[in-house]
Amino acid sequence: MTPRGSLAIAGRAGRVAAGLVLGAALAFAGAYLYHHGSRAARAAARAATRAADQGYPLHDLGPAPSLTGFTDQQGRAFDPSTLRGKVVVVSFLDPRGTRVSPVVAVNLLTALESDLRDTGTFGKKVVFVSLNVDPAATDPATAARFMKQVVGFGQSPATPAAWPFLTAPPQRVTQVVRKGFGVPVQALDAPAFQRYAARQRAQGTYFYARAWNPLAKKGDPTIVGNGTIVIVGPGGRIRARIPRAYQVSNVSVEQTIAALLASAQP
Amino acid sequence: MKRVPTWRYLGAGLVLGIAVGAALFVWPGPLATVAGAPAPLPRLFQAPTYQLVDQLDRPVHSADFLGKVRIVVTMDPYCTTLCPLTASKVRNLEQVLKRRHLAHDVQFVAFDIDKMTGPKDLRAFLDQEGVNPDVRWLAYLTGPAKTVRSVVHDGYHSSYYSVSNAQAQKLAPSTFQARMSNGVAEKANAPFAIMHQSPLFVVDRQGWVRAVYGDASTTPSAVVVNDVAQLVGGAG
Repeated sequence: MTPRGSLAIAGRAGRVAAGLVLGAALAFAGAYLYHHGSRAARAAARAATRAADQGYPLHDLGPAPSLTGFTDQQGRAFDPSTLRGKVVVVSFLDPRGTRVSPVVAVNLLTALESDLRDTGTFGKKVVFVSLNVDPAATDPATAARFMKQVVGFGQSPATPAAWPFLTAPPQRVTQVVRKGFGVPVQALDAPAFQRYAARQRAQGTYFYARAWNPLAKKGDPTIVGNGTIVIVGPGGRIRARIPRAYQVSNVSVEQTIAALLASAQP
Repeated sequence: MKRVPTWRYLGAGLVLGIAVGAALFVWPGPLATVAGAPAPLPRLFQAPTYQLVDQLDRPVHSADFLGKVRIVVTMDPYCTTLCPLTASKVRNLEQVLKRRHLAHDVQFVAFDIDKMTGPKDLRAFLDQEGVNPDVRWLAYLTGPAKTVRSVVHDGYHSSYYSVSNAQAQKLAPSTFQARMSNGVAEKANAPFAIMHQSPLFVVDRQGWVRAVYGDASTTPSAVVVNDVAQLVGGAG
C-alpha cells in the first residue's frame, strides 16, 4: 500500500469516527432529555401520592388579602379581625353552582365533622370562610340558603361555630379572589364554556358529574376555576393552595391543617 | 477509482454512533430503574373470578381480562352521592391513560351493586355521566345479586347494604356526602337506597390485586396512572 493509500484509509476512518462520536453524543443527549422528562413525571406522581396520604406541603405564598368590605350570609358586615391568629380555610363557592361548589363545600363539612370538631379546634384555631364568586347574580340570602339546603351546614346540632359565606360587590370580589388569593375564577357564557370543557375533556380533568342544587338557574353563565381551596396561616400569610379540591379527600385537607397548626412558623 | 463523498462516511458513523449511544444509555438496564423508580406494588390478594353480563348484555368472564391491567370500581346506577363522582374519575382516568399511551393495556371494570338494576340502567347511567355505553374499555357488569355479592363483598372485600329511603334520609346528615343529580335514579324512584363504599382497585395482568384506594373519586389520577405504568411495564 502506498503512503497515499494509507492516508486515504486513515482519512476515511477519521471521518467515520467523527460521525460515531457525534452520533453517540446526540443519541445520549436525546435519551437523557427524554429520561429527564419521565423522571420529572414520576417525581410529580410520587408527590401526588404523598399529597393523597399526608396533606399538601406548606409554603409561604405571600400575604392573604384583607376581607374588608364583605357581608356574611346573615347580612352583617364581616369583621376580618375575627380571623386573626387562626388558620383560615378559604373556599370560593357559587351559591347556584351545580359543578364543583357543592362538592368542595361538603368535603370541607366532612373535614369539620370528622376531625376538627372532635379536636375542639374548629372556631377556636381553625375557621372556614367561603367567598361568593357569583356576586353579580346572588346575594347573602342565596348564600344562606346554599349553606343550609345544599351543604347541610347548621342542620346538625354538632356544628357549633359559624362558617361565614361572604359576598361583596363584584369588583371587590374579583380583586380579592383573583389578585389577592391568586385563584383564577371566571364566568363563562355558553360558547366559552363549551371550549373550556373541550380542553378539559382532552386533558382528562373535566368534572362530568352534576351536583344537586335547587338554587340553580338555567341560562346562568358558568363559573369556572373556583375549585381551589386556599389555606392561610395564623400569621395571615397564604401557606397552601389546594387545586381541584373537589377531588381531594377531606383527610388530605385535615392533614394540611394539622401540619400548619403544628408548625412553629405561623 | 471514484472518490466516496465525505458525508457518506460521516453518515455511516452517525448512524453507528446513535446505535452505540442508545445502547450505552440503556445498558446494563434501563436508567429508569437505576434512577429510583417507585418500589414494586405488593401482591395483596387474588381478584375473584366471575361470570356476569356487561352493559350491552354480553356475557363476560373474568378470564376475558387476563393479560390486561384492570382498574376496578363499584357503581350503583341509582346512586345520588359517590357514584357519579366515581364515573367522572373513570372517564378522566381513561383519557389520561390514553394520553400516556397506556390505555391499550388497561381494562376498566365496574360492578353494579344494585340488585334492582340491569344492563339498560347501566347504559342510561353511563350515557348520563359522559361515557359512551358502547365502548370496549369499560365493562360495567351486572348479574344475580348473589353472584355480584360474592364478587364485590366476599372477593374484593367492599361492603354495601340496602336501606329503606326513610332510613337513608335519617343517615344522610351523618354521611357528609354531596348530593349529586341523577336522572336515572329520579326516573326509577327506587324504594330503597344502597349504602356503600366506593373503592378503586388496581389488578395486575395475572389477576392479583396490587393497590386498593378507599375512595375512587378522591384518588389522584397521577397515583393510579403511576401504578398502571409500573404494572404495564412488567414490574413485580
